[in-house]
Amino acid sequence: MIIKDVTQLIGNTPILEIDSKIHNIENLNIYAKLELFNPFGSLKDRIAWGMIQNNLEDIKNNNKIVIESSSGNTSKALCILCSKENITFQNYTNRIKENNVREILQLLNCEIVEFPGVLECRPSNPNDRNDPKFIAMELENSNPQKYFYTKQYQNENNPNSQKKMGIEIIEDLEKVDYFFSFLGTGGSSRGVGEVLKKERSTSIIGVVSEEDEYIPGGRSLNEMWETGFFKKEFYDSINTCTINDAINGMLTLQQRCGLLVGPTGGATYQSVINFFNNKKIETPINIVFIACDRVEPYIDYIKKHRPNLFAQTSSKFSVSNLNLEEIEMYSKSQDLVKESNLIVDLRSSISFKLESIQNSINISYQQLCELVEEENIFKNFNEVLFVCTNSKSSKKISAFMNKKYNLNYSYLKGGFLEYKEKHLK
Amino acid sequence: MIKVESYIHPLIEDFLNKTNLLSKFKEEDSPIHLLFPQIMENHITQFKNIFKDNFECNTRIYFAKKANPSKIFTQVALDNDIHIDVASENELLDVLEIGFEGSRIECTGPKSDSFLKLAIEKNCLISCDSINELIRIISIKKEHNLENSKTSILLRISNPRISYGNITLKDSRFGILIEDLDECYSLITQNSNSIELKGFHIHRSEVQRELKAEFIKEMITQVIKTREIGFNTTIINIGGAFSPLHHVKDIHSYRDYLNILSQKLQHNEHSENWRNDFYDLSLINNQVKGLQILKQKVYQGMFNKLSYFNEILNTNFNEHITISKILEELNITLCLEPGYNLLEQSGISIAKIIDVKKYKDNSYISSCNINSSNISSTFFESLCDPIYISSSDENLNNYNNINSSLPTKVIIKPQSNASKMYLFGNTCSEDDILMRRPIYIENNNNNNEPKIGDMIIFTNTGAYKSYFQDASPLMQKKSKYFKVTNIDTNNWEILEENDN
Repeated sequence: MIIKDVTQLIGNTPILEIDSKIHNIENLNIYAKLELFNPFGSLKDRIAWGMIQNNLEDIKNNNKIVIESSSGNTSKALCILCSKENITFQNYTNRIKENNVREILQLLNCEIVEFPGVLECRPSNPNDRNDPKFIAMELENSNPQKYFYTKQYQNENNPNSQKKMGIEIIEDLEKVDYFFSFLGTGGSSRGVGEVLKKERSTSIIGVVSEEDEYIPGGRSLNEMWETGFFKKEFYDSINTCTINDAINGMLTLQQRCGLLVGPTGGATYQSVINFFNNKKIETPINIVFIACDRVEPYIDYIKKHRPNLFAQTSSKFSVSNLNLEEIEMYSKSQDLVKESNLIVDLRSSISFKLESIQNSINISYQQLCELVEEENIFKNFNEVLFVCTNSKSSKKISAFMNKKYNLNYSYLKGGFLEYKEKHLK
Repeated sequence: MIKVESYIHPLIEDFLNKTNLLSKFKEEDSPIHLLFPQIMENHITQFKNIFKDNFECNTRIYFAKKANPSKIFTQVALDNDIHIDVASENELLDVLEIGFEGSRIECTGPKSDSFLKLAIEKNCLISCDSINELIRIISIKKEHNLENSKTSILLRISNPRISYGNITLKDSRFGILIEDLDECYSLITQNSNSIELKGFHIHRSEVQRELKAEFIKEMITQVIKTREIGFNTTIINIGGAFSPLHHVKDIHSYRDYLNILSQKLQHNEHSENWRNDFYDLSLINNQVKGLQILKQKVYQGMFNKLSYFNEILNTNFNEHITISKILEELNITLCLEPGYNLLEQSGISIAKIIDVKKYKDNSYISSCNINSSNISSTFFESLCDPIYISSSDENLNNYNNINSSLPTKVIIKPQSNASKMYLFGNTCSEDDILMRRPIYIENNNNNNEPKIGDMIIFTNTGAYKSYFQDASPLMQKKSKYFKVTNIDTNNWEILEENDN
């Protein structure tokens, strides 16, 4: 298939029927609308294109700067679309929480202007200078010849561009009983939902994160205030989901269905499962949910919330695999530092540089775990003493070394803090 | 319009269900504040457990006494082994009298010479607000021969550097500019026999987690720097201000209310608020501005402490280590100064209607026996509806009745015969407004007129609201404070606090 312009790849995404063996809920047919297959990786490609395609000539002819307030996917899509037309794009935001997302935007040469969120508890000026949407609006109002603000939260081209997705779904499915959508701007669920309600009498289910549970690209019910499209009455039900739900759902879709979705897609899938779990379904029902975007920008987020996914586990014997009994059995404590010891300080380099035991060397705990799981890097030393802040990590390393390499390495009892108390003050 | 129901703590709900407030306070004309120490105890336990169970670093909690100077809460802080933060000489005298040792007291805010002298004499930790204050501490010690013991100080930083995004913080009147810290270090070094630098303090009103993490990172950086030049700095204090002040039972009702208010503003309709007020909303180029701020003043349910601190302390200090871990490694004690967050939902305030008159459009103007200072409504005006108890409900007597099937109640959408009532204070000032928004009352017997003696209960007034501006400018009766405790599963005890 030869295409002339990348914008031709926006939309017309396929639908994947999720194998019922994966969820085991009788009479439930779940279909994933694969919006992650859009060229820039998310359903926001449709929105971005929808918001500027009819204005491209005006923007180019008048050399305008396109501005938006977005946490990632919309600005990514807008940035690429602008860049290929040689248009400057600026992103005014206070919502980029993921460094990976920020870095991708930087790669795309996006001008990012970040602000803190408005104060949450103190009375303050209503025209808060830290509200990026207000700033963007002011910029456009003060100089409409120079700026074009796409206003994803109010721009009717946002839901309108998503109506096309609704039409694609009804072309593929005769019957759609439920449509699940994670709420970000609220534009997708409204655009798609309006079509499905009208054409298939579909029940529309909104999914939001629990308050205080940040799921990238989504909002909590409180936060839905920020958007102009959200109308509670539009939804038949609004369900909350947690970070855990999002990651569990995401892993299922990745590992069982081969879909490299991000946490928002996972949250939506898991909400479907939570919604129908333990419900008796008499006749088959069809559900469509949106697999919104890809996982790659969210690796740091997932690492933060599920670090064990990235630990070296499986059958390999590792420090983190040791159980409490093994730690007690194999570790060996030492009260004092001996001259014959090779002293290995497991703290961070900052702490080590600030204060350390004389003649000790510094290898951080994480680094050391990786090294000693491969080989005994201390094989030329008979007496090794591990030191950490309070002896928790050093005790584990001592146990690991002694068990794996049949040695007699020790840890300093009480750790560096106790040593400092006794000897460095 | 719409009812915006207040969130009510389960303990207070239980109290309201089991207590006949109309009869209990029938003879009482003063503004009444009920304080629930058990709720503060719960918060302390939660704070302690969250840090004990989830983080390895040392933490210390200072109760910010300015949130409510009542001895009731100070005693709870003392009995539950937390520290206390005082912001005036009299607060310091009070906590000393109650039994706090100087080692458990931190002195903050603007300080007079006599406040500083007392703080030095009692070996309190002093959060130093300026170079000038540092010089005053040194000279007071010399002048009064107090140099034989070292005074522990924190340096309060005014303008922490932020590496998160492209952010400029608002100016703060408090603290020392980063660029002046070196001068402080020299002064402390020159007076090292009498002053000990213990660490740093950043107390700013921004509640955003990302910014709190940046503030902590700035203080850790200063700890590392000062240790390199020979100070034994071990404390950083992140202050308080962790959450919004208004707690609604269901956020949708508040959202619906703001939606209607915005629409009225856009269509140039009357807001129904007193004097057609729209709170801080304004119309610029036909766009409603200020919604975000109004929105973020209100929270559904209780503040989630664990989630908040999890996100802050798991933020990376640098690419190798989290804030929590570096605090642990460097043996830095993280101090918090919650005031509001220890007293969240720990008090309610009761007003009675003393005069009613009919006004335009079938509405009523009710004057109460409290004024706007008694519930600090000019600072912390309630955005949630108070509880309304009709005096004719006396025999029916409990809160359950008010909120379920009973004749007189505040409603979500008023029926056509509902009365609209504006609540005012008892001074002769036009501006003595308790709430700009009206509340609606109605019942099934068409007896929906507010009456003298009806009771209005403002919720969540334990922190700041019941004390911060409390005054009786026209010699009205002064506020009375009562300690409320459940002595067993069925009985609540209400004891007047005489010494405030």
